[in-house]
Amino acid sequence: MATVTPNYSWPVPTSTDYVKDGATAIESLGDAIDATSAGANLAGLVLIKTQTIGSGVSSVTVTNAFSSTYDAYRIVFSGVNGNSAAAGCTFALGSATTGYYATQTEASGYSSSGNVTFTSTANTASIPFPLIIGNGSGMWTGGHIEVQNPFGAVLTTVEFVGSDPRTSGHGLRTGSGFQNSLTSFSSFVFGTGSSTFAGGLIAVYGYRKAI
Amino acid sequence: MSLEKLLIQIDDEIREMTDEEFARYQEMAANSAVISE
Repeated sequence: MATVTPNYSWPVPTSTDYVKDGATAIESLGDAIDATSAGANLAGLVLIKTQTIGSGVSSVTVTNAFSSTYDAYRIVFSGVNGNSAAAGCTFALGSATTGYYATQTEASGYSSSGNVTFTSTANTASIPFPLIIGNGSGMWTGGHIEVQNPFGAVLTTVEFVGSDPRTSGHGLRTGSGFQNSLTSFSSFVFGTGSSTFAGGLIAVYGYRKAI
Repeated sequence: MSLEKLLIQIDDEIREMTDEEFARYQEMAANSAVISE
């Protein structure tokens, strides 16, 4: 009597089934696997790699993050904290140390009246990534960056969201920017310009562009 | 904090910055996100 596999419930024969039914059983199993595989191909985000952030480092370079397999990426930063007072972070591509343009908006909700500020930077050495790290305990933060076309020899564009978990001045920080060169990048650098990291995790995902 | 040579991480490798990397770090420090209080 046929049974099913434990994970995907694909039909498989048991040892007491008739041998003469083997071809039909194989066909049923093949059809089930084919259907599952077709569905898996529709998954939009594919995990490329993860990188644990070491303690005491001022920047983390993640190599082999970008390739021709994907045009667009999501990089998720979680559980990030630092070793000194509140500080912002930076994001750069490959070894490019110039040509970054960005604008960020901070919407602070701590005060009753709220506060919105804009900051623009032009032709800098990195993109100011407003993910605010703090001093260890109780100050873990996170955010994400969307990146388009880093591997293609065209302009690389980014959009970012960073958290500011300080109870004395929390806020929403968003922005966008680009790297103004026709350069192909396979790596990126996540840094903090005025502190060091105490830990955290970086996960790089690619947006599937074909089934 | 003072701008002294710090550790840098490349994938799982952690080491001290080279002079070139330190120069880049100083540039990055100047471009950190603005923190309002």
